[in-house]
Amino acid sequence: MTGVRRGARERRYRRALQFYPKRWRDRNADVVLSTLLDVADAEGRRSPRVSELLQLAASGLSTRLAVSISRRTRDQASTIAVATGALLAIAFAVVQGLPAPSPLEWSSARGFGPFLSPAIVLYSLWMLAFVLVLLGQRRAAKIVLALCLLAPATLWITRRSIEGLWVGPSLQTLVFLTMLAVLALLGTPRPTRWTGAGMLIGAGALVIAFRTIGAPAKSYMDEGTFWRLVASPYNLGTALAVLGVVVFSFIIAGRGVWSKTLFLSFVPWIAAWSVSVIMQFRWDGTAWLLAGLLAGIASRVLVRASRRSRSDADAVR
Amino acid sequence: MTPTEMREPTFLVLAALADGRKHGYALIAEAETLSGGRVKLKVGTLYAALDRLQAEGLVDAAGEEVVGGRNRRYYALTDAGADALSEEVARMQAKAALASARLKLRLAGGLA
Repeated sequence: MTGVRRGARERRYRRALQFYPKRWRDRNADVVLSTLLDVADAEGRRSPRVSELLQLAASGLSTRLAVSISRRTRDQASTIAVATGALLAIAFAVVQGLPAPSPLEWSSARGFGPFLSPAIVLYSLWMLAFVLVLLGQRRAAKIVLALCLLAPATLWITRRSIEGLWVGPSLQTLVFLTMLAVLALLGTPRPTRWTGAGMLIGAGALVIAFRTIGAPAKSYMDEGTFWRLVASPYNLGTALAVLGVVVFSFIIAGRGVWSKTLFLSFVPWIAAWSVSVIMQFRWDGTAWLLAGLLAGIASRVLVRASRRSRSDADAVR
Repeated sequence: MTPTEMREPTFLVLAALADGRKHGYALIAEAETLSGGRVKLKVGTLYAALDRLQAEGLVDAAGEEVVGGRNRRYYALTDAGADALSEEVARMQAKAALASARLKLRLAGGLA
């Protein structure tokens, strides 16, 4: 093998290692690179495999994540996300009615087979993921959760292309479940013996709340009713403000892991609330104010993370 | 160490280190041998597992050297790592014994 080729191979591996945090690279990059080159030599390869580079990228990003959010926090947030997803999936499926009530006489929509909405596919995936988590089938659960991540965007695109044929799911539900899937995939769900019971009690309570608060709309309710009535911008905004105080209390009490877990668990709710506010106020001043506020918070978090990363690197030198 | 079942890459890394310290490539080769050629650890997976095992105190770095211009870091099993491996082996043996007993029952039922 020529020196030029060897140099190109090494450069490509080094580029892939850039996905790892600087502190990690300072400690391990030369050692890992040597192992990569040993493996490539043993297989008689002159260049990295694409799968090898993708795997390094995934592993590097995962290591970066682990630096900023501990594994315990991610696992707790992941467990809460899976339980929340299943809880809402059951409640929405029950409230919407399975199968569809008399074929949508109030609407020109066709429904989705025997069901009212294609959202049933998404709900089924969440319920399946939760059952797999309870059974300890982590690998299978991750695959189903990956489908839960892809399904909302697919449903949204499909629904837009056949406007009027399907009822729901609402944009809030799709955004919320997408964010939940991201959270669920960030860690490994580790259910306790109470997770299953807690989820079912929560789903039951939600159905009752749905029926009670949504009484005026009893003739027909879709999951959008949840975001308009139960978790309306006012109700959800108030709840988030109260929970914000709880997180602050945890921080003051030195319960760092739980404050981070709760904060992460809020993210899907904040996203759904933002969508509701924007949809309600359209793009008037309120929506722009909200967008500016969220952008400000996101920038602040990024700047802090960047500073922390630099100080970590300095500490190693 | 939690009583949950050890994942296969973790088990293979610990088993590969049972007879002495090894560097990254040697660990990959040994894991492949131990699994009968079934498992070929990716380099990213190996070092993620080593990071985690070091954080859990089951594995420790055991020296570095430069061979042919390449940096090699050796890893060794700690006492806690040896205990965790022993527990996992005992668990696997218990499961194998149980399965073997069931198979014998099946055979006895079939003959009866």
